[in-house]
Amino acid sequence: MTASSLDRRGFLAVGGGAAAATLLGAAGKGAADAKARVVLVRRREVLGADGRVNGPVIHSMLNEAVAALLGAKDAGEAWRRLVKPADVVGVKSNVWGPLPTPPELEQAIREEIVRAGVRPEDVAVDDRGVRSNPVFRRMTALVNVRPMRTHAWSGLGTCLKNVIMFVDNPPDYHGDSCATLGALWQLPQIAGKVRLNVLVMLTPQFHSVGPHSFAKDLVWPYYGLIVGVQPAPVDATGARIVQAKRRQHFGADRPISPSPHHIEIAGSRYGLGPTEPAQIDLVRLGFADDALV
Amino acid sequence: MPMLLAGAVMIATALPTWPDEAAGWKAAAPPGRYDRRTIFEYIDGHGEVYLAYGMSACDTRRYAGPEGEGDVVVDAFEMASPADAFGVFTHSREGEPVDLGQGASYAYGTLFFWKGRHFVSVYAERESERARGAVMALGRAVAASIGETGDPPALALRLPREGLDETSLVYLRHPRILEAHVPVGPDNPLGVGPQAPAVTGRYRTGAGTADLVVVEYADEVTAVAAAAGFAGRFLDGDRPAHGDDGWRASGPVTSRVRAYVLRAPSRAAALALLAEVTKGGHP
Repeated sequence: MTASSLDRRGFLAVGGGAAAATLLGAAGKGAADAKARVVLVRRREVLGADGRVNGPVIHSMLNEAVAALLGAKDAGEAWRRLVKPADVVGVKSNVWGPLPTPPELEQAIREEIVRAGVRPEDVAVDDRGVRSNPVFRRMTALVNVRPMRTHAWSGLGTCLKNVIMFVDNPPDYHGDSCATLGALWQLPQIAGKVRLNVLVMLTPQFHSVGPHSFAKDLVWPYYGLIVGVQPAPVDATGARIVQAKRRQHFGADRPISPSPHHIEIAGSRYGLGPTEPAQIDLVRLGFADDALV
Repeated sequence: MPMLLAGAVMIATALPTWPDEAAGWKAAAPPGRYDRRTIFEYIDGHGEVYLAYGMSACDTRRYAGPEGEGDVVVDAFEMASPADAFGVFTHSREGEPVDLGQGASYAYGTLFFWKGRHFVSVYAERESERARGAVMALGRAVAASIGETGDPPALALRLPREGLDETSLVYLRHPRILEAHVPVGPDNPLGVGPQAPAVTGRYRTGAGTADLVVVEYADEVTAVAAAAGFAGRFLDGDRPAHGDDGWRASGPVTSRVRAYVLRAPSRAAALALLAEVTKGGHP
């Protein structure tokens, strides 16, 4: 990958500083109209017949995607560009009961961060406890990882939304179908720290029913991960897949409700990356059947 | 903080008496009860929906299925009023209608119904024909255990029936619920709230669909102020205007009740729907 394949203007608004310079390589190479690279990797072997996640397979998928995202010669180089030994890294996960971030993926991310030189005691994985977790309180870098699902207030539970646990009162961001979630990324505890977004698409949820917002028939095996630096193009790609699945399932164009417009707004208002397909450099790894995008 | 509903009944009734067994599914634990504060410990990420309808308690019980079958979970929410129970049902309903309680539907292994002040969900964690039988049996038992009935809100009758997709009718009194059905933009422009309930529905028109929202304000002054705010933001003076998502129009139904048309495919469709709801003949 070249520096120009990242949307530099958008990424700098998110990451800024040293992290941006590290990822972008030589300063000034990113053109304002460059596409944002997003990697979609899919491997059938990642899910067993019983639905369990295959740890080694998801680890290799993650590494393939990260290397392709940064144009690195191997995963080790890519991770060393994402984090530095002096970093304190928070891995923001998601523990939602029916569809949590797979522990195997959390473990893979942690291992790669440590392998890149970060001290084990300077890495933590957390969700609900991020505001009190001592590692998160002194973090210099953040890896954001969660599964894609439909959501009662925001339309979709996205990487953009996953950082809402960093604020005292999440309902403050629920207005207008969570339109201003992008503002979260300007908070001091997050701005300039996010190095990687991983949207888990192993079994995305395309619709919600009932108090528990879940039914087994509302997820499907997609066997994928979507990985990017900026959250908006990652989420926009995932959203297109979910919308296509809804069209396939319902046999009609039934829009995600409420509208997940927080994704487009995150890009246009908060500079968190492009959301239009024409502005996204989508790299596909693995099998292509039923990709829906 | 979730918007509190003034006047919401906060004292829940006694624990329900539900069967210990139904269609081969046996109670796996004693009944549980959650209140407005503890509901988030039980329903992760969705509790605000029920608070938005004035929930005072949620009674729940899990039933273990026979070998090879999943559990069935019963959740009975006690809402502030029958109108709220009707409202949360209209917000949640999905799938095929079922003759149970005062209105019911079934989709994806979940039965929903309302009766009196109660909204009930019976959820099969693994859907099967046998599990559906247990869901229905438990639903009937729970419905029978609720002695009271209640009336749907009169406001729901304000929606003209011609052209209305009945499954799209939603009664609400919280702006977040309205946003889930009709994209109205930020800052609650219609002034919906605990003292300003609304009903919304989607209409088939000649060239597409349109949304109608009818809001009942606490008094005329509030109604006029809300209408002026809507007009300033969405209309051309008090005349229909075209926005990114279609035509919008507004007009009075009574001194306290206003109608808003959104996402109409044409100016004529917006005005026709507005004329239908404001012409009278509805309670």
